[in-house]
Amino acid sequence: MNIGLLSTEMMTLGLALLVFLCDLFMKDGRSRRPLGTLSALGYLGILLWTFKAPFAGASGSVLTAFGGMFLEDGLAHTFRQIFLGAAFLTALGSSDYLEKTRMRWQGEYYVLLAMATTGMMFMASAGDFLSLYIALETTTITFYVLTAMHKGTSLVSSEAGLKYLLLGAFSSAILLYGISLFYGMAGTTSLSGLGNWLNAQPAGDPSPLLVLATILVLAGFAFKVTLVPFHMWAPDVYQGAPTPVTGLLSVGSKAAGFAAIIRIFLFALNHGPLVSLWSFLLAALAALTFLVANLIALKQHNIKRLLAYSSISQAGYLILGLLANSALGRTALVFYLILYVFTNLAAFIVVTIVSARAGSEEIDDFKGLAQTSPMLALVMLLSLLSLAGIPPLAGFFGKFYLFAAGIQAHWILLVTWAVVNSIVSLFYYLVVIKKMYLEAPVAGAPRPGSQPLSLKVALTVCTFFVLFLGIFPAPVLGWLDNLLK
Amino acid sequence: MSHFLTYIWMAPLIAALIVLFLDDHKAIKKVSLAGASVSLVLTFFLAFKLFDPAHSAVLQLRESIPLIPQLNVNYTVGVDGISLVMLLLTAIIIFTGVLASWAVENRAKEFFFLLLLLVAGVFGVFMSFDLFVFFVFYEIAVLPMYLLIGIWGTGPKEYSAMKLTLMLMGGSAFVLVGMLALYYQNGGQSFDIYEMARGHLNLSPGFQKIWFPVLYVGFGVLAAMWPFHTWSPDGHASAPTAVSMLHAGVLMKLGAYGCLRVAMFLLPEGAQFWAHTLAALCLVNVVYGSIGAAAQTDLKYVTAYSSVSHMGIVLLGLSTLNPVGINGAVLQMFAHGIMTGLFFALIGMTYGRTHTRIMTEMGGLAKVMPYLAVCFVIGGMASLGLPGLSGFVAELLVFLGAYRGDFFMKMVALISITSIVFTAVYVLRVVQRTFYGPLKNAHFAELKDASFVEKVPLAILIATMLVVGLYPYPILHVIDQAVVPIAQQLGGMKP
Repeated sequence: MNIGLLSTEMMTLGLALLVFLCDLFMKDGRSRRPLGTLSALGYLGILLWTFKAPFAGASGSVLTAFGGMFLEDGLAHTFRQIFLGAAFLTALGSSDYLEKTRMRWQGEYYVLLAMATTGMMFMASAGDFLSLYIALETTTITFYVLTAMHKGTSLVSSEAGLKYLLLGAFSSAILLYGISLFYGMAGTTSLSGLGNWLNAQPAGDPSPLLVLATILVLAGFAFKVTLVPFHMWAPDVYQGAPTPVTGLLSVGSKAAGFAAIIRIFLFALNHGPLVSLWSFLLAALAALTFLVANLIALKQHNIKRLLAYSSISQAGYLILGLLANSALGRTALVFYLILYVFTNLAAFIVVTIVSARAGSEEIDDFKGLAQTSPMLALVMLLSLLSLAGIPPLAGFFGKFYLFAAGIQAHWILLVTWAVVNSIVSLFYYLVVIKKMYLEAPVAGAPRPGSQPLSLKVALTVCTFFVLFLGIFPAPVLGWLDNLLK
Repeated sequence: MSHFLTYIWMAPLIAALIVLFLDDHKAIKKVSLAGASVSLVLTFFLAFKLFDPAHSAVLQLRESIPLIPQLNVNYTVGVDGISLVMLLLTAIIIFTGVLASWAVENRAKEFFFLLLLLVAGVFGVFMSFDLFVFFVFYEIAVLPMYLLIGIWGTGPKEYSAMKLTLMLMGGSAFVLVGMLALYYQNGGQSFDIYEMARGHLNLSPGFQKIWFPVLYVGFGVLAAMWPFHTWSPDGHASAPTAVSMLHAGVLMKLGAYGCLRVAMFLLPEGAQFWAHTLAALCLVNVVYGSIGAAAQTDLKYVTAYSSVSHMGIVLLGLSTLNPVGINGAVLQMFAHGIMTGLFFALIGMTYGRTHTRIMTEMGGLAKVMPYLAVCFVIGGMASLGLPGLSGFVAELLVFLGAYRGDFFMKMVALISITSIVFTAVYVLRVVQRTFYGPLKNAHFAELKDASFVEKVPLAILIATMLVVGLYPYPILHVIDQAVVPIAQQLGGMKP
């Protein structure tokens, strides 16, 4: 068994321990900014290493460790890079924020960030229900704590953490029950074993027990990726958590959830009659998600809640890629998750900056930003338009690719519904743009001044990729096609 | 020379990017004018030197680079007769538009940046022959409108801007779905327009009957097809001068061009099935638009409704499905574009002086601003189709083409012709109320006539109208050859 396959995870864990040790030896009261820089450089280093190091599964083969519980294939490799990229940008965006909000446990914050990233990486590499569940719990519990990190200073944060804990625990329990039913039927918790067992089943309608198990597992993961009506935790948690954590939640946790869903539904449960069952359910959930998330977002006046609902609706689009159940669908899904990292984190970092200056998280704080801070307004404009799906930005091409996958798989009505709802979403993105560009700044309000280097780097990287992935998507698409065969 | 067409849309884009780094208003305007001039010069060079009018049915100066191999998307650009005429229109309008915006001082940098970005998108649409690239340019041409109208507009500008953007994006949403459906139904081989057109027989009549309206309505929203035209009056009235010129003059033609090049060319059997319905809707456009214009008191609203009416004539020409009508439609796109550009430029100049657009508050301005008054009269005459100006030739062809059809089309043609009366009513009303009669407001006696910078765009536009009106053969010859293959595809309605 090749433990070298886990090298990325071990390095990230090592980074966590390193940050922990450094924090231990730093005097109380000293600034923890160096820890942020250390984390960011660490993530960047590991990310670059994953590009350079010979990738074991490059030839398309799947390598395993721990008796099949850990998989190393193209999918795992890509998702690891997504998580590291998201963590890098989050670490860059955190250091200034933590100081401005005077968080008490800054060192612990960075450690937990690394732990969450490790958990997410394990989720993407899980080959077995047990390792998947353990990784899921590692990630989610870490996020519970991260959400409530403002415990002393903000009631909203504690409330958000508790809500997340309760709802998360509940849905984990449902998920576990579904897993146990699958174990009962298949006799193994391994995903490939489940797939083999299903293929050996006689053709015909799936048994009620199988249907129940599928629904339970689906519900458990629908919570994780915020599909309506399992999305209730998201607005409160996104609003209450420290903004960089919200950013990581919205891109990393969602990506991890989708990685797990791909492994379970597209690899294990991809068995004829069962496919029509979970396709139908996912399509219904996606259709509901578009509608509900976009409609409720129209009424929001808190920017973090608005972005939360926007994030919920994006999950619906991602489901389209899943429903396509084809190579095109998988590539579209992963491509969208990649560009989503850059788009969403850019938006959240700008929110961090603006709300720190204004002292509140209302959309009205963005009034006249184009005149007080043209660069920031431009970054926000680009990321909002990318989320809305306007060319030549990355979000347009991501959505286009997902729609193409959907139509190729004959989900024409669902794609039309998605497209119509994306026009509805344009409205609430335009409301923010309107505040920034069309309205005058409030006289006497503090203006966001010059930003520290870490934030400038983060925003530049994000903006660059939002433009690059939209105008020249072909190289990344080719790379993904190769990996996700 | 193989990248010539790309230079045409790159010129305004590069000018836009340079403008971002400038702060001095004079420099910004000069760079913008330079960008627009480069496009104008290149387009004229293309039209008179590089383009072969004897073969205008064939795609010329074609350039194709693989862009996204995974989706068989290529960056394919080229010109045929129809595209050439549209490119000329765009080049003339943006050049005159930049001149007409010379007085913009508030946030001039962003204004000219967005204007040039918009124009780059429009140029791109008219020369794209790959559906994906076509769509990308199409959307680039729509979104800057939100900021342009919302920031520099007048009146209920935020409302107008939001309504316009949402409705136009709604239309393009339908185009997106239709495009993908076409691509996959054709086997997922290519987004190239000509390849898809060749494969139209593979598309079942049932498929075409469902998807043709999706695509046509999607484009029709931008072409102000009734009942999807409601964004147009508020949008045009609230927009600043150059933006109105571009929008009514060029962008609405984008919609009609899309109807022709994409919806009708690629789904001909669908077009034949829906032709009568479309003609009926166009009838409403033409008549309702002109009646609506006659009822307005605000100059810009008059012009906006007049645009709705004239776009109705364009779409009517398209729905005739025969070469005469389609020729008329394309020529009307060009003629109306120039004419409406002229009108909005004039209204902008008048408003800049009198600070009112309500006709009843003005009067007798011809005594004070004779140059502007004369231009207005000429523009008005073009609008109601006076022979000798470009509007006449276009409308004549459209009505002749419609009359060639069956009984239903003959009736539509006859009823549409009555709109000429209403057009005369509102044109003459505008001219009489605003420019003739006694001077209503004594303060207006001190107003200055057009300055040199303003005389140039007006002269260019009027000269174009006269040239095309008096000697339409060159432009019609080029359009006709390009229209013939499309009409053949459509099977034409029997005379």
